[in-house]
Amino acid sequence: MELLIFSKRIIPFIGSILLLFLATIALDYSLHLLNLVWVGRYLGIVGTVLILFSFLYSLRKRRVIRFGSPKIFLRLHEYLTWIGSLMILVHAGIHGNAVLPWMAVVAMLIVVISGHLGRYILSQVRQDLKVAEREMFKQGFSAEEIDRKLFFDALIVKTMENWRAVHLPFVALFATLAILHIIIIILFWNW
Amino acid sequence: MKTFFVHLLGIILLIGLIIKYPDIMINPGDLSIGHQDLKTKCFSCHTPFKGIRIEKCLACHELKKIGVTTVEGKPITTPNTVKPFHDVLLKIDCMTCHTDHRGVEAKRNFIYFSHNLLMMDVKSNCYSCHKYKLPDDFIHKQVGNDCSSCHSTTRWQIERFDHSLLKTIVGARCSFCHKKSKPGDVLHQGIRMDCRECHTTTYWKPSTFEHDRYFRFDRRHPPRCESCHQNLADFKRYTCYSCHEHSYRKIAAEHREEGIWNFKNCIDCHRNGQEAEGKRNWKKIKRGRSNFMNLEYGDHKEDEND
Repeated sequence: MELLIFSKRIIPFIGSILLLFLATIALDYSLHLLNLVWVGRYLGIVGTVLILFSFLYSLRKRRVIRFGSPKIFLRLHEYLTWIGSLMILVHAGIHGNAVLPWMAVVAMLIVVISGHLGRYILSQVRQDLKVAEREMFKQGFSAEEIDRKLFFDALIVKTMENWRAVHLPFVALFATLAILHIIIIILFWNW
Repeated sequence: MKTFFVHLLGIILLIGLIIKYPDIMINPGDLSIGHQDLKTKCFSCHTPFKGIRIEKCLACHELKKIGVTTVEGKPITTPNTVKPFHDVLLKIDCMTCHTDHRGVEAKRNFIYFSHNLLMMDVKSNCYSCHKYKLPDDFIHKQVGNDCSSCHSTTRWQIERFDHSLLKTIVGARCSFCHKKSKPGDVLHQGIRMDCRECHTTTYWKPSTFEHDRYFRFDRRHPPRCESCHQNLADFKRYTCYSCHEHSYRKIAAEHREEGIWNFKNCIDCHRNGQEAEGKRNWKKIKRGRSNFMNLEYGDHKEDEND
């Protein structure tokens, strides 16, 4: 059971984040190797557009748009933000000195990690808790006993259910910082 | 509503920080030493939405004075270039070569230069900038003053040297320049001939010399020059009789037995240690399908004994 939990929840969670970092390093290294570092500048634009597209899910969820399956939009949200984050991480690279874009990158990473938490951990843990409750009920435990025994598990789930409390404000922070970064680039650059 | 105000406050705070500390918040890299006092004055160089306009650069950096005096008017005692050249550029676009922020393109800072940016008359006259750097060595004295005969504006190291530029006497003596790189092997050390017998002035390698054309070495005929070439100053002369296996009397008897009377120049038929191939070559010569080798053979006496 322990191994199943690990392989079903922890590995995909860590794996996806680890893969994001490894892919960033590989892509950045390849661009340096091929003398195409300048491409990184434009990956920022592509990554931002992909992330903007991923917000179709939020629009569908809040019924701003009414077409399409929310489940498909959610998958699209996950994939597009993963690829978009990869491009923005390459775009950030290791060069910049300015604090503002780095703040944007940190905010983006918090959004990505909290998103992964919601995607891979929370739904599974919630499911597990329900199964445990059912099992204990079958074994003849009273409701009070079940509550007492699963108190800490329920507390963890409750706490984790607040992941949106981290995810959404940091989405707003990331958006603000990214918009400021874009405005500053337009203001100072010769396009 | 509360969230909205918190968000708005955050944005105002961020904008305030950007305005107050632009060098920390948005500066992509440190400025050059001369521009340090402009760290917080972004619009000294940047024009909103238009990037860097050359007018702003030229307001401080007068073209004719670049490399001559500082912007304060003090003379530059150790200039980076032999001669100032900014006033003879084809097009004035500072950003083609210069970038100030040591950020993404830090390496480009004040390093990039292309001769293609120079006016044609300046570009074609290397001496207008490089005259104090003409090397005072033998080769450069030989080849004259036209740098572009050997050097290009993209690569100073020459890829191919036109030997016809050299004066005739020196041109015929490769070792005058190449003696240091003469290989120390037996073959090269023993040779007294002109290098051009095997090498060309276009490519040093590969040489045109192929010993296999004359004789192919094998286990019993190893590549020891002096075994066949007794005079190492003249590789055109050779002999096969320095080996005890080949005595004139024995060779003569064997050849006459086969009806071969002309056997003075061994390699005419024997291009390796295989007797059968020797016979085949003799037949070809007899039928006129092959020619004699244009080589001299060594002196040998017909009454030579084993």
